[in-house]
Amino acid sequence: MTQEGSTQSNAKQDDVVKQINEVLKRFRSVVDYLQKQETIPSFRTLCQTTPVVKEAFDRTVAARCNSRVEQWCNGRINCAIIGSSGNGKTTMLDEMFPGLSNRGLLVTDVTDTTSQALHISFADKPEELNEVFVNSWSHTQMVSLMEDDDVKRQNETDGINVEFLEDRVVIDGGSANLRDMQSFKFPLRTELRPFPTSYRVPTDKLSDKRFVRALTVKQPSDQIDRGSLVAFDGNSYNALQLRAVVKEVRLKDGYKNILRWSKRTPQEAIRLQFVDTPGISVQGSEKDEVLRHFLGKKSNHIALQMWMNDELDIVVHLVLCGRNSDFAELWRTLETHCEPGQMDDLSERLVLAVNGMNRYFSDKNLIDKYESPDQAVSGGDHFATTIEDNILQKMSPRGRIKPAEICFFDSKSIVEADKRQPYGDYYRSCEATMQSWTEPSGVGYGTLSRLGILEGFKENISALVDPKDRGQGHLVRKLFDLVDRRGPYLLVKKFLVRTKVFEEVENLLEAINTYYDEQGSLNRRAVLDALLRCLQFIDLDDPQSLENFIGDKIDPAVDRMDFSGSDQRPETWGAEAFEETAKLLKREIVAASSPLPDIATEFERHFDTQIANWSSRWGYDDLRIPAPSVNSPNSADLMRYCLKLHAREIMLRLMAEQESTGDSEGFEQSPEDQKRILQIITWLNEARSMTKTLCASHGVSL
Amino acid sequence: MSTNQTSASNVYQLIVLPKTGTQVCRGFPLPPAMQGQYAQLSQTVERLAKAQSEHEIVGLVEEHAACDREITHTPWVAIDVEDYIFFRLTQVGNETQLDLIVDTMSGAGAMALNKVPISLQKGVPKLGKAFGTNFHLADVFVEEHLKARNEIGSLIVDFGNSGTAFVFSREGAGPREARLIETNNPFDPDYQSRPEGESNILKSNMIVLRAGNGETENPWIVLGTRAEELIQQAPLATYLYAPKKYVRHWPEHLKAEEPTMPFQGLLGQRDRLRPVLDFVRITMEQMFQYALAAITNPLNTSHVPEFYPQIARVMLTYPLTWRKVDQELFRDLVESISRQLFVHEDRTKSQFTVELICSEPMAVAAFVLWENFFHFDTHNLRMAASTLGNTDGNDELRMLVVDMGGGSTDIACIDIKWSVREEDDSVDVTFKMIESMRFNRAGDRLSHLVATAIKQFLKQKYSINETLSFKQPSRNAAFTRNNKRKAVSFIAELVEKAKIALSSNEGVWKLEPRDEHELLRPFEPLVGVIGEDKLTQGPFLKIDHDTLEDWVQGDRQSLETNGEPGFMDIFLYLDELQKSLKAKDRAPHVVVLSGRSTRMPFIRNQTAKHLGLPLHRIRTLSEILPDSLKLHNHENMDKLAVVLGAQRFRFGDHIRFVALEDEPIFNRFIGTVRETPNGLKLNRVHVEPGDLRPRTITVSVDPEKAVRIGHAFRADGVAQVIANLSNKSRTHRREVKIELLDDFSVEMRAHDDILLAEWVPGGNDIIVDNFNDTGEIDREPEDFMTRILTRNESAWIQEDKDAEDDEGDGE
Repeated sequence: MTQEGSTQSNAKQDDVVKQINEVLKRFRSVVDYLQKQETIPSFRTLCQTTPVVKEAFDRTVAARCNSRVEQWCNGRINCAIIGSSGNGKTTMLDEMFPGLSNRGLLVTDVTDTTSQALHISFADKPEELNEVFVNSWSHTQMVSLMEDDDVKRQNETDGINVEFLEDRVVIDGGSANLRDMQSFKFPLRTELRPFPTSYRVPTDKLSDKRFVRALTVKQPSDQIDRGSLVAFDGNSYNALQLRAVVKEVRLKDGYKNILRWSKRTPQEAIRLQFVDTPGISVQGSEKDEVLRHFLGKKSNHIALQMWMNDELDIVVHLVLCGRNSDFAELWRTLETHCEPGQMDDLSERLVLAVNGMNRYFSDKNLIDKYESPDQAVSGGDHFATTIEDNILQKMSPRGRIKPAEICFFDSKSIVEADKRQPYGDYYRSCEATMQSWTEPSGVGYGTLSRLGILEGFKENISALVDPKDRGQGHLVRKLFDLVDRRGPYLLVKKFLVRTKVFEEVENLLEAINTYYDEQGSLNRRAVLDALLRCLQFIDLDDPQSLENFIGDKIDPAVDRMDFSGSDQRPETWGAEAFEETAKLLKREIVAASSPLPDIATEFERHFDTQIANWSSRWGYDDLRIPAPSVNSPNSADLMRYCLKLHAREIMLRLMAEQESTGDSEGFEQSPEDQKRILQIITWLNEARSMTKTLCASHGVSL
Repeated sequence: MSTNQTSASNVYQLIVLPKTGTQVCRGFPLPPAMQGQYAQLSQTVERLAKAQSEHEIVGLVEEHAACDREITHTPWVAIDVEDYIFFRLTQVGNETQLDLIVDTMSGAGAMALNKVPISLQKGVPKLGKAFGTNFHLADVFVEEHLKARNEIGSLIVDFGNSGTAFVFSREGAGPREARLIETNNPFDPDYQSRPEGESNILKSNMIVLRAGNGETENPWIVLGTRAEELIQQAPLATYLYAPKKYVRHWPEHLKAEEPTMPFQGLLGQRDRLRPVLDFVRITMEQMFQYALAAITNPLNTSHVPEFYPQIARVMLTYPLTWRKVDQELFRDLVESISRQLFVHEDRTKSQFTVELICSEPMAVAAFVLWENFFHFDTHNLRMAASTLGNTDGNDELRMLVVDMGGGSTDIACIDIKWSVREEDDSVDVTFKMIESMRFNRAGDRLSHLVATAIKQFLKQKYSINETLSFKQPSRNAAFTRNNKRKAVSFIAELVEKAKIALSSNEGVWKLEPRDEHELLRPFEPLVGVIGEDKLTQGPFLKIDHDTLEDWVQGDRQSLETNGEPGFMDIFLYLDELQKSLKAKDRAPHVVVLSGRSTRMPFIRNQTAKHLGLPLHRIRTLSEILPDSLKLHNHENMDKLAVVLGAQRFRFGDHIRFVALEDEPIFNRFIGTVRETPNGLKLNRVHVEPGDLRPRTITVSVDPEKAVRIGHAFRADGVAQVIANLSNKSRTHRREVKIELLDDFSVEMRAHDDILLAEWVPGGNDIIVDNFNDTGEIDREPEDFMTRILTRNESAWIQEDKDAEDDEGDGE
């Protein structure tokens, strides 16, 4: 993207952030206002007497408690790097963030690292570089991890007792039957206490290599430090305890390489934050002593927690070239624990980062794939094998997934150590071969085209060959491009849709509109009276009563409904049919009950309000069933089927309202009360309308 | 016919594949040169038939072959009685044709590359020579499988007590392209009069037609309605009604209790009693043979195999609460049959698997959801969901499936969630079972009630008091076991008629004089020949829908039934279930009724009443979509939904299903059980809903006493027994640890004194309401149903034939 283009996108995103916060502001105000129910007695009474309002309000309060709603949207996008250990993630981070390595905050010379997430964000000012925070699990999270089926079973099998106290979890291996207990360095009884708040690492400790290593590496037993490493809030923590309680470390970096590669301004760069997640399927080790089972599951739980908290906006899945992806294992865990829909837009925010491009030139099997075209034809070319078969097919338990970007990169230190020549020299020798894959006659051309990355790959080659870029810069540029392109979408979806803010705004608005008029006047009693009078001809104890009424009065009319000409109104024909059916039903109800005129008027008003809600909620307003025509002969039948069922559902909903009578004495309303409700309705309407506009502008479906 | 189908000698060749069941080929043409010689040829065949008259097997074919008896034909003749290839000549118009039967499982038809001439000279050389003519009519060629067109695909099987359905899903075929296999019974002379739907749903009843000579020889088995008819003719033949209920793993210590049967055919028999499970295997083998025969030769007229299915995968549905051991037993059984029967090329051989794809109710739910989502399109899922009862506008649905088969009722509440992938509008659907239960009461129980009514009617009108139990001797020796078998079979036939009539709009069934006459024939040794005057006099048997509903309401668990549930307990269970789900805020949005018995209107009414849902939220499978969008076989959908749902579950195209693991918790209270005047209740509660499973509990059992373990929705709710612990020690009280695996399964290490008997969910015995197998009508406990029925006897045994019919006219 050009400089001008990225500035425009920056401005656009700032505007989106502003609007999201406007919606959140209104939503928060509504809930906070309504929670102080003494200020709006009519609403308090309504909640006490009308289950449907109480349920709607309870759900809204629950959505208000979401941490995402508690905070304002700052427009920052988290980019999570997810991959199994041994795929070169730490080495990549080391080369991307040399500043962190130089400060000793990234340890790359070992493989047995501790399981925690590393948040890296841009340091706007030099002094921020010293801001390192360590966050621990909460007590609830620790209990949840200890209660994991596998952890529990393994602890029981090995005789490790776990006790849950109010402020801590106690793990006692005193009666354990582990084979290697003689070599344990830490006490057999260990207490795990969550940090009361974020722990800011004192500046002097940041240069304490012993501390940093203990925080990041599982040291061999002969080097392990058994003493206290951190004292916080009157409690001390040794290396083993830290391994268990620390959930994440937050630190800042000057983004030297990131700025250089992306050619972005610091104001733009600040928007992208990196999260290094612990490796998928990292297992506990014997070094974890009595906590081995607990720590064996920690990595997956961290990823799960982050996913559930919606902390991962863009996912970079890092796989070493030639290896299989084991992302599906994480996927399965997420699917079991998360709401559906958490994974549905993953492919739009997924970047596949293939590490170790040099393996295409050193792995004999891969070389055969492009040097022997026959083999490419029969078994797939080298990209088909490494990208499609090994990764895309295996990422999801449901089959193939298409990422938003696929990038290839390599590591300077690895290439130079392996090839014993400068990185640039080595890659220049490979460049022609890589270029040949992008020619129509080249092996791999078909797969690159099919994956939609042919042009990107050409750009990627130049970046790979450049020893100062190594494809890592290319990856970073693609990430910024993705932020420009999908940032607003991701933010709207994250803050307004997945938090259920929009859903609950609609729910609450529907509940309020049912019992207040447009001016905020309470009409609950009038509604109840009207419903009681107008539905009295239905015997609530006899299910056949409702069935007979609809069967006699509505079904035949729906069968006669004429849809001719509806193909001229493809977007509204369904809503019109629903409206027509509702009108008919209203007429028949009034005819069957013969209420006094003012009762009939109240009933009709209430009925119409509800119908407007249900038309939207039951899918008529955004219907995409083709209008009946020669090409769509079954649409009319399908519509009639829906209308008949929905006529019954309308009756059912009205009857349910009628049954929830409650105390009608409390339905008096002061002018002040009315004014406040009017304010609530205004905020809710604004929040709804702003969200709809935002979603429509950025392609978010509701 | 193309020339490449004629043999070198210029006759036509019937090409069959080995191991494709008993192949019937009707209307096989003779070469033009032999046309116009029917008279001469038929004489030869008839002489030949006479010469073979001593061979009973030819007589068996003559009597049972599924070939038209109305056309001009000769008797059947065997090429060689050891070869199991038979033919007859027919004349249709001016054309002379052959009907052929080739057993491809044994004899000459089982050997690849065999060429068997249908030659009168070869068949009866002496006769041929006597006529001085070599009548070479046709050839049967047994081709190798791989020479035929092979199609790789999956075979999906819903093995049911009342019927079994198959789908062959070609590799890469879309969900709606899958092919329901329409089977043909090779031994059914009345094949033309069978209802169309019977070929889609193969009735699971079986009878042994020919036992065969050795243990390894493939017996001839007849399935379906024909089996029901044959058992009336041959009461001692091995007959299995509703075979699935016998699929049960019997651990060593309970082996003695495993039911057994003799191996007796209409022709031939084998020694020794065998576990009924062996006959389940034989039934399934035969079903698979029917399926292969139907694929290779769909209309029994194919001269060459249409194609041979390379079955890479067999996918099975299974009852919801079959224990793991039963599921594995079933899977292993099918795998063993498949490996013996299917001929695989190398690739499919190495990949071949038998999978338990999903439980039957889950398959039904998948079918309902798939069909809805498909027709509404993934852009309109809010509307689809709202028509299924979720009017909140979110992407979830709780569907309660009540699958009422013949032998058991499975009830499952499934939590369904979905999300649409924006990039391609496909949908990911997750299924999670949140509640489940199985009752061993279902359609057979209703049959049993109606059968009891018929028996009671016979007692009232004709003073017939004899037991119909096959095991018990009659007081009148002339009323033999044969009579009983015929009587019970005819009662079963009448019950089926009654159920169809009671499910219709009219909702009334009357025993017509003609049927009454037939019914009385087996009882003639007791009552003599009944004249028409008696038949047309009262009392009359007339059951209406309300009467049946009254009976059902009285059929419930009590002290009298020793805790055994009745049909009404299904609804009482739904009541408890509803309360439990409501308390967890998981009440179902919609209820889907599947299984043929759910066609009875009272099932819907009772379900609605006990679940507190309106009638339109209770749907049968024929009501899930408007008529114009229903599948071709929609009238049989209450049976086919399982197999089609399983197919969509696996091959749903853009609608992908994933079954999530159940939460590892108990959903019920579990504890020891005591009897109360209001039925069984929990005594001491050991496990509460929400507790993690499995759990080990300790139970004390007094000397020579027993303790029952049961579960219930509420601590003080009605309990269902899941296991029984009995202490055989005369002196010592024993404490044992038992492991509760889930709400239904219990395990215990072997113990010297304590015997654990697991009860199958829904009752203590999987084999219930099987009067058709045993003749035992209303004996559990004795006369229990009769006492229910006689409470309103005047409503259904009427003196005046048209009492109610005339009511309207009189006013």
